[in-house]
Parts: sequence; structure tokens; C-alpha cells
Amino acid sequence: MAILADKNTRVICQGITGRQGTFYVEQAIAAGTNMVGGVRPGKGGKQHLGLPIFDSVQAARDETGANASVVFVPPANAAAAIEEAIDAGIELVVCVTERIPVLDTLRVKARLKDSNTRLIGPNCPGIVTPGECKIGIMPTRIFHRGKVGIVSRAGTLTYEAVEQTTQVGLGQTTCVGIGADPVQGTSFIDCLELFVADDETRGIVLIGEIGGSSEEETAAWLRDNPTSKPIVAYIAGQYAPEGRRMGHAGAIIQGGKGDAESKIRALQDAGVQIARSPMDIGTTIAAALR
Amino acid sequence: MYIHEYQAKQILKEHGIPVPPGWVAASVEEAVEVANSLDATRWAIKAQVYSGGRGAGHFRGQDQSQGGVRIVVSFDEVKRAAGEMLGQVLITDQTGSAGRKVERIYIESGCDVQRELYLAMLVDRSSARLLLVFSAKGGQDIEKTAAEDPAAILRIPIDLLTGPDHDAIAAQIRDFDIAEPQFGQILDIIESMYRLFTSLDCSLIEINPLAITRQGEVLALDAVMTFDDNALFRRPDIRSLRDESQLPEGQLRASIHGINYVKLDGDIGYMANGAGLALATLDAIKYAGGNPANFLDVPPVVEQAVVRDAFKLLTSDPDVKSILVNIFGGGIMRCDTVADAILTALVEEPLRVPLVVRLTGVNAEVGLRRLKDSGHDIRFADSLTEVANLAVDAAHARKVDHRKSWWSRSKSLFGSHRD
Repeated sequence: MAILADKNTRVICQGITGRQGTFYVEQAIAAGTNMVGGVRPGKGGKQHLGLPIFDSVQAARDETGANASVVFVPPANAAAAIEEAIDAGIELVVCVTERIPVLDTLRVKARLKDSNTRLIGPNCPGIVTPGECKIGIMPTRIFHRGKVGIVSRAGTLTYEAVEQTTQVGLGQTTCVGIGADPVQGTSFIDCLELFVADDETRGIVLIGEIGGSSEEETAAWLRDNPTSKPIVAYIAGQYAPEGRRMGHAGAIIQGGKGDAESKIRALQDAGVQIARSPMDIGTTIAAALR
Repeated sequence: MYIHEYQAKQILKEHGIPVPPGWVAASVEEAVEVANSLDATRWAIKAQVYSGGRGAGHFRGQDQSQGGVRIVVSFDEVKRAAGEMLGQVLITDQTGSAGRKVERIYIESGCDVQRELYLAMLVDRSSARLLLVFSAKGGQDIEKTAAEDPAAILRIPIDLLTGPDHDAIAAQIRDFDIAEPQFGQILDIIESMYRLFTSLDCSLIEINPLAITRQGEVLALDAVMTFDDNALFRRPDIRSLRDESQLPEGQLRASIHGINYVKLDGDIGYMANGAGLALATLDAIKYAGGNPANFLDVPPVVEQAVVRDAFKLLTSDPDVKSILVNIFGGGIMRCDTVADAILTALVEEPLRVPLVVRLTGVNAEVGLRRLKDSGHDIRFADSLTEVANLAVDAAHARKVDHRKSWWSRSKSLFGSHRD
């Protein structure tokens, strides 16, 4: 089954003609993704990598029936690109672009509320359902189709979890990198809901990081929505130096949440197994599924 | 990006938020001149450094009880305070022992504070909205208040598509028993703050305290303002306010290339790509029994020079006893780029400590081959576990080696004497 993306997902790329867009679309096609077109204003009617180029997302959707888009547009225009996809009714948007101003993301997030679009990211590695679909920048070679769902707030550290679950022989159903920015389109909870409902997914790996409170919120949700599927979490930054603090507001809002210990405690209390060391992610989920 | 208090107050003033009269000074003479020009009998003298907790800090080599914020009542005292601050190093609990050098001080008219409020605006990650934070119990103990008396802190979300809901905010602040005209002024300040926040891409504005004086004025007595680094491309005026003298040396060199570098007190220098992987590598070094000399996250770049400079931050650090490189190559930063960058760096600055490398992902084979063929003494690892263990072992062996080589050197010296 997998979640979010499979062989039937029809994907377009916004920013397809750029260096990044070109490189990753080529990889996506090689990975078997059903790429159906690209968007680049002013280049409509042309072809790139054997795909038709359109001037707008709406035109691309009308012509190709695309239901997903991957955004490689540079930071200054990335929010506008996502909004264009929302307006065109694209159901799944994966924004890889990093360094988007946070106020732009907040505006996008407000626009998402009354739309039928789900945004993954920004600043995320994307989604891979091994053997079926790759939307984003993850290296497909480390994947192997199997039974673990992975959701991660990190970038390259996500690949570490993928590689380890491949090495212990479990493989993945789908891996979702939700992005490392403070504000994300899709949360851990959204992905857990999907993985829990997915029959093929037997166990779940969650990769968190210090900062923010999304791991604590996930733990609270899990307490209210327990699952029989084993969940293993690793929280990066247990030994991180304390960041420089500016003013009191952050501390007031966080109220003691945010550090690794707070996240680990909350997740443990919710029945999640903790891989203390990043070296133990694969073996911990393997033991839990034995 | 952080700016100084005097710059933040200038920006507040430009946006219609009242601050006490004041000006910045870079010398004792200027300080006296500023004090003289202000129509006051009491002045606040404030060290301008990139750190909070200035008042409770102390200057290196000086009386520990004298902090970076002082209230003075005569020109002589202005002179003395300025002399004791300018050019000196202020140490706070946020700066660590390195402290920050004070190049400028801010001198402002003292005022009679009747009531201290707290007002802040920031991005709230969990609700994905802006958050207005208000308390009628402002001042230094605000965090304690927040922990012990959460009801004393108002948190009001603001929707970016609609802006602040004036009536809702007024209704909530009304409970705190603030009379007119100050009540209306505070609401105006909140409006201005929102406009300022969104028009300049702030990430935090904190006014603490927002004071009500005995004369009935509402004034921002202290201000912390930070900006979204990702939005600086469209805020050149803000970017130009950055004071590079306030950044530690390694961090400054690193920040030029967008390298995320923090010096730590251990002896294993390491680099990884991606903040999460860099944090995980730090955890792995600790779990393997070692101590990192730094945190270093290289951004995904095509340019070899950036990776080379990142690597040289490790080789040039005298505390480093072994070096660990942990790279998951992607489509932008591929493993061969990293290998070439390391080789270039080693030509410019030869290796004097053991180097352990793990390259995996895009073009890992090519990168590993180039490093192996280079003839440099590099050890290779296939996994995070292996790379961490090898680097920790190498650093420990290095400590023993040092003693041994010193011992054998001194022995041969004695020997030559005897001969």
C-alpha cells in the first residue's frame, strides 16, 4: 500500500529547468516515478528531459492530470510557487527549497487551511515509496521495499535511518522527510496517522531533533491514539551545546520543552521505544519487530 | 540575525514606538557629550554586545559586582562607567568565558518607572502563527513568572492573512487594569509592532520592560530584536546592521560560507552535512566515548572551496587530536566534491592528526577512490558506528603518542649529551 505517493501518483516539477530540478527529475524518472510534466513560466510548449513544459501549474494540471508537484523554485519565489499549486488544486506538494523566509511559510500555511492541498516541507528531502515513486531529493539506492514507515524532521540524517533499516533487512514502505524548518506543512502526527492506517507498514521509525515541540505534541497524540505497531524514535542533539538565547520569549513559549530529554521522556511515556544512539536505529526497530 | 539594543531602539522609534531619549557612544568623550545633550539628571549606561544578561554580567579583570548596565547620577560617574566599559570584555552567562568586547555604549535618560510590563512578538512554531505575548508583570523575573503563574502571561495568536484582531486584543489586555490613555497607547504599540515585524522580516521583538512612568509615559526601556536570516536577501538595510566584531573568529569565518560552526571543548574535530546528521554525529562521538571539539554542519554546495574551508576549520584547530568526516552525498553536494575539497585542503595545510572518513551516497565510490589513491594516511569507515569508534580511538591513541614521542625525544637528547 505505502502512503502519500505510489506508482499512480502523477508528478510535475515546478522549477524543472534549473540545475537542481533537472538533476532530480532525471533521478526520479530513473527511479520509476510517473513524471508527467514541468512548469516554467515563459517556456510553455517546450520539452525538457522528454517531458512537456507548461507556463502555469493550472495548465500542467489541465493537460496532464497531475495530482502532485515537487517545487525546486529558489527561496524568493518558492512561496508563490506553492500558492500557485494550491490554487490549481494540486493534492500533494513537496517543497524541497530551503531558506524560505518564515513569514512566507506562515502565509502559505494559512492558505493551506481551506484548500485540498497537502504540503510536505519546505526544506525537506521529500517522499520515497521504494520501487514506485520518488518525489524529492533522497538517494534511491539506499532504499529497499519492505515494512517500515519512516518519518523524519531531519535532512541527510533521514538517509541514515533508511540505510540502517535496509541493512537490518527490514526495508521501507514509505519514507517521508517533513522538513527541518520551524513551520512545516505536514506534521509527524499527520504521517503517523497514515502509517498506522497502512496495512503494509508494520513498524514506524521517527527521527526528531532538538528545538520546537513537535515531538512532545506527537507523544501527546500517541497517548490519546495508541497503536499496536511498534514505534522507534531517535532524537538528534542529546549532547548539543546549548544555543545562544535571545530574550525570554522563546523560553516562555517553550515552557521547558524542546531539549532532547524532554522529547525522549514524552515519547517514552507514550510507549515509543527510544534508540539512544543514532547507531542503534536499525537494530532497535529490528528487535521491536522480532 | 541579532542587532544591538541601540539599533533596535532606533527602529522602534522609526515605527512610532516610544523609547527614552538616548544615543550611542564609542569613546568616553562622546559618552559625556551624549549625557550632556540629554535633558536628564540620571542616565542609564548600557554596554552594547550581542548577549542578554548584561546587567548581571561582569567585566574581565574588574570588580565582579559591576555589570554591563549601570544607572549613574553625575557626569563623573558617566565618565567612569564609560571608561570601565569601552574596550573591555563583558562576560555574561550567555557569552561563556570568552565574553564579548564592548566597542560601543548606549546612554539614555533615566526615568521613574511606575509599572513594568512585558510585550513580545515571535513566530510560534506549533500553531504556525505569529504570537503576541503580553504580561503585566514584566521585568527580569518574567521567566520565573511564566513558570509559576502562567495566567499572568497572555498569548494571543495573530493570523497573517487577517492581521491582529484589535478588539480581541483589547478585550484580553483590559483585564490587567491599565488606565487610559496608557491602555490606548499600548494597543497602538502592538499595531506598530506587528507592522514592523512583518515589514522587516523579524523573528523576535521583545520589549522588556515596557514601562509606564510616573509621568504617565509608555516607554520601551529595553529591546531585543532578531531577524530571519532567510529573509535578509530582501532586507539589505537590516543586513548592513550586522556587527561582525561581535561574532567569535571561527564562527565569522564559517558564516561567510553559510557553514554552521560552533566551537566546543573536546578534541575530536568533525564535519557532517546537514544539521540533523551533524547533531547525530555529535551524539555518536559521545556514545563512542569521545568529546567533540566542535559542531560543524556543511551546507549542500557545489563549490569545493566551501567544503575546503570547512575542513580547514578542523585542521587549524590546535585542540583537535583526530578528525572525523561523515558525509551522506546528495545530488548537490556529492562525495567526489568532498574528497577533492579534503585533498586541496591537505595540500594547503598538511595533516598533523589522524583522519577518519565515511563517505556514502551519491558518488561515494569515486570520492573514496580519490582519497585512497592520494597516499595520505586516511582511515575509512562504512558506518556511523565505525567512523565514530575509529575517531575516538585515534584521539585517545594520540594522547598516549604525544607522551611517548616526548619521552623518546628527551631520551635521545640525554643520550647525545652523554656521547
